[in-house]
Amino acid sequence: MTWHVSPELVASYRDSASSDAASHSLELHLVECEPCRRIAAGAVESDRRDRIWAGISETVDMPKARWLEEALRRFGVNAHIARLIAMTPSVQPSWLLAVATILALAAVAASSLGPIPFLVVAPLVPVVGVAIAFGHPIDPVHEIGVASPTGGFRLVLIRASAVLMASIAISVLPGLFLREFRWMVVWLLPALVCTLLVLVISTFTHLSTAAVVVSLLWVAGVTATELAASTPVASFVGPAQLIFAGAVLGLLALLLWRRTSFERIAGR
Amino acid sequence: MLIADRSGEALRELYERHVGWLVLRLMRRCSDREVVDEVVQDTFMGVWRNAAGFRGEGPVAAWIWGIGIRRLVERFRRRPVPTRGWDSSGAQSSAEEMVLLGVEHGDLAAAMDGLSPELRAVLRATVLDGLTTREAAVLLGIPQGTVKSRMRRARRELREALA
Amino acid sequence: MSGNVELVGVGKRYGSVQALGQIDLTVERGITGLLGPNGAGKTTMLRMMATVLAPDTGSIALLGRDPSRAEDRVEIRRRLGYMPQEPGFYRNFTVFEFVDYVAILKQVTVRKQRHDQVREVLGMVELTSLAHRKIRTLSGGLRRRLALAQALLDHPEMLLLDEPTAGLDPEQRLRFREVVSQLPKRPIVLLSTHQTEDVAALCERVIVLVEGNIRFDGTPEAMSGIAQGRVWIAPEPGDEAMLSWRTGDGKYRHVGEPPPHAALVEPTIDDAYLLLAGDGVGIST
Repeated sequence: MTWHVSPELVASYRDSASSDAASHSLELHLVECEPCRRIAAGAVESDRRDRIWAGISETVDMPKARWLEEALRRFGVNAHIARLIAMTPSVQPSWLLAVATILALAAVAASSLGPIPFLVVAPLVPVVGVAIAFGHPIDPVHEIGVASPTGGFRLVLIRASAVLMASIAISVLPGLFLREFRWMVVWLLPALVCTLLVLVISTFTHLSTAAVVVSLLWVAGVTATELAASTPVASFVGPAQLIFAGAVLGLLALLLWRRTSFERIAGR
Repeated sequence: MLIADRSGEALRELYERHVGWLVLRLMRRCSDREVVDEVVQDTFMGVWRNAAGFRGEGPVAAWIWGIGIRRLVERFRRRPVPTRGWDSSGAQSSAEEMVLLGVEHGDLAAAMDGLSPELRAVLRATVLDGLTTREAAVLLGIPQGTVKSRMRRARRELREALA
Repeated sequence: MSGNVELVGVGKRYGSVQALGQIDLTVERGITGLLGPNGAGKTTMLRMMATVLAPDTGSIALLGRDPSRAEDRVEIRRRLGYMPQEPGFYRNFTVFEFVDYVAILKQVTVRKQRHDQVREVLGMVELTSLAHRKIRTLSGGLRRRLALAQALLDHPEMLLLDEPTAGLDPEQRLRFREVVSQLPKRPIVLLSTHQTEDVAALCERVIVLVEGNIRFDGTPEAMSGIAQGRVWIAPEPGDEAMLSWRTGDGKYRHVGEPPPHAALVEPTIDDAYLLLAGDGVGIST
């Protein structure tokens, strides 16, 4: 016959009323018997258990130490903004890895196909990233986000900047496969233009639609320029960069003008 | 073990399973609720931090107790706690309990009951709770030398009782 | 500065549909129920109060501020708790991380304070033991509780709950009522639902909204009073009544014109709702 503890024994143990022999038996037994431990658990009030846990949870609750958050904090970004950015869905490793792979392929192909594939794809990375990062219907927390003090334009800016920087960061390594240094930088302004454009267009229509529109416009634009121009890669060099710079300023102004539309959600 | 992958949920599960008996067992050695609650918190934080160090030797509860009782000892060492000590009403063990004790845990545990309270306390601290003589001294609030001499006496009496 | 919600002449239209028409309403501290069938405009009204939707006509004042002005809007949102009808979650987040995220959005910047608040609201909805569970492993009822928890962060002065008990079983609904009725500091609570029992049990005031218009505004007792003299029990079904159905004990309850051999009974809030909502509503569950 195996001996197990009874609730009465546990109660008398808790009240220090049990004999030493019984107490020792109980203690030794509980080390090995899970069901009896459960009986013992019942003798401690749940408030007390919760209270003790509250003290432990501060250490444990620290949501997964995200290295990105630490890195951002070291750059002087406020701790909570760093969390917001680090928790943005499209700044997650899995997505970044997928993108990095695509870019790497495009870059490697550059040796035979020229830099165009890479230069066309790279600016679209933040566009897709922004679409994934927020905006109804892809961001499920959209409505709560807009109803918060941070919500609206500020949140959009924080996340869009984060996505842009993440995209640039992961494009650096694949960029190293390109032959010339200038290919690594000429797409930066176009990336900014495309990102701003998708944000501006999102004030008129769904973010996903905006992303598609911008992607098509960009690809069509580059194709047309390349076909029409006499020098190769004309869409990225020389005067093209000035045009992009101008577009950035114009789009920024437009975005600021349209910013209140981020303060509301689109009606049904 | 589950915790090694830093899953807060795993710690919570472990907590729920072990906090009960740990609180009860510590309360029998220190009746100050606040001290015990603190020690229990420290214990689970220790579990959290040292999860990788548990290599499965023996039951998890024994490992947890080892951490817990040592935290209590540390606590006593740092600040005197007036309410320390084995809390007991001095109830006498029934014959049935003695038999059970013998059956479950061997003659030693049963024989312990025949010793005087101070000797029992020393054996409890070293044999049942697994402390070193130095730790037992802190737990019981007596000099280490006294622990050693009481252990000698206890062993002698047990040998006679078990002979 | 008044701490009310005031709608004056508020209207909203989507295409050809008038979702809300010329609403004049003042809501004060306490629990107010917004009752109405689907498509009545409840969500539209709540979204306007949550500052995420702007009215086409009329003006709104929330907690003494004007939500059409940017700075006021931020201040309102600081004091607002909103549980949308279809709350979304990042499924890979844990319960704790999600509420923490919303707390950051609410600009609770100091981490210790924020974590204390997260733990507090999780405690209020009894999700403490599931704090480290990933959201994708939670059932619908638990996710609703999570959505409620985030709305309770930082003790809002105005709490807007859109269909908070949808999909909850009776026991969960009871617990929900407990939480809402025991909120500290008596905020303005606006609770939109099509469940009359929630309203009857919890609300000090009921507003019945049907097809964008307010058909009733008063206490639950006054609402039952509307159906006074128009609710009957009879042994057979009848065609003359506006609505009639078989009750659990085999009799038939009629709202409206009585069939022969009918006896008058005390009306409930359900009966009044049926009368007010007319054809726009089915038998409530």
